[in-house]
Amino acid sequence: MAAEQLSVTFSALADPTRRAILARLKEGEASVTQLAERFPMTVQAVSKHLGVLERAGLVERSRIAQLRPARLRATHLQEAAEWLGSYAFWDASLDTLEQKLAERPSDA
Amino acid sequence: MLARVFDASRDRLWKEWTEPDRFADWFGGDEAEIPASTVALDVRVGGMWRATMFAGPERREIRWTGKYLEVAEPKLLALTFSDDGAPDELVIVVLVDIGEGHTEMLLRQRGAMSGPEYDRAARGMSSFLDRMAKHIADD
Repeated sequence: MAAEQLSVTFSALADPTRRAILARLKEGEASVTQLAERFPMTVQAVSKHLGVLERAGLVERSRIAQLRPARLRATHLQEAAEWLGSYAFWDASLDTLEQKLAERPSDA
Repeated sequence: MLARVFDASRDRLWKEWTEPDRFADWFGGDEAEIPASTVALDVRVGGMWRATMFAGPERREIRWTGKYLEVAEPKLLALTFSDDGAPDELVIVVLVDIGEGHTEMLLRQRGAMSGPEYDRAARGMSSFLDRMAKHIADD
């Protein structure tokens, strides 16, 4: 996975409205109009945020249906979650290592 | 846990930890001086290390000693730290090759200190790593 994509993903996530849009899309697809009803902003503003999410590959929009509903694309979000999870992994691994070091008979 | 990405290979960062001249330069950061002649690093499991630091404008002398508990070049180093008889602190350093010549250094310290003391220690260590990064960039 390219580090570049992670930067794009986290940059897209660095906005409360965009995170709220993603949270809404977790429940199912929605059109720009439907999203705009839910947020205290114009359709244009929502559309702009959606554009950022789409370019980041976190959201895709139907090319067929007339309302072009947006839906979540999980791949890059999954990668970002894995990246964050790697720190938990290291923490747990270091716990295990520490325990082994403590159990090792001292040669001093 | 501290995590820092360096524009350097694991081998290069390993040397920062294990070669006396390099270690003397960054350990203690900009606020402390460690004469290279006081540094001895016996980097093997069970080996001891020591360094004498002159900290701050008043040049307070701190004698660091410790022991290497785990040595896996160039990936992992576990060592204890103690200054002038204080209880041992355990520091684990992990070097992860993240590609394109970059290395992520993960660093965790555990021991007998309090939460606020660890926050302070982490800030201190972070400034040491700033100096290490600068030193690498200047090379």
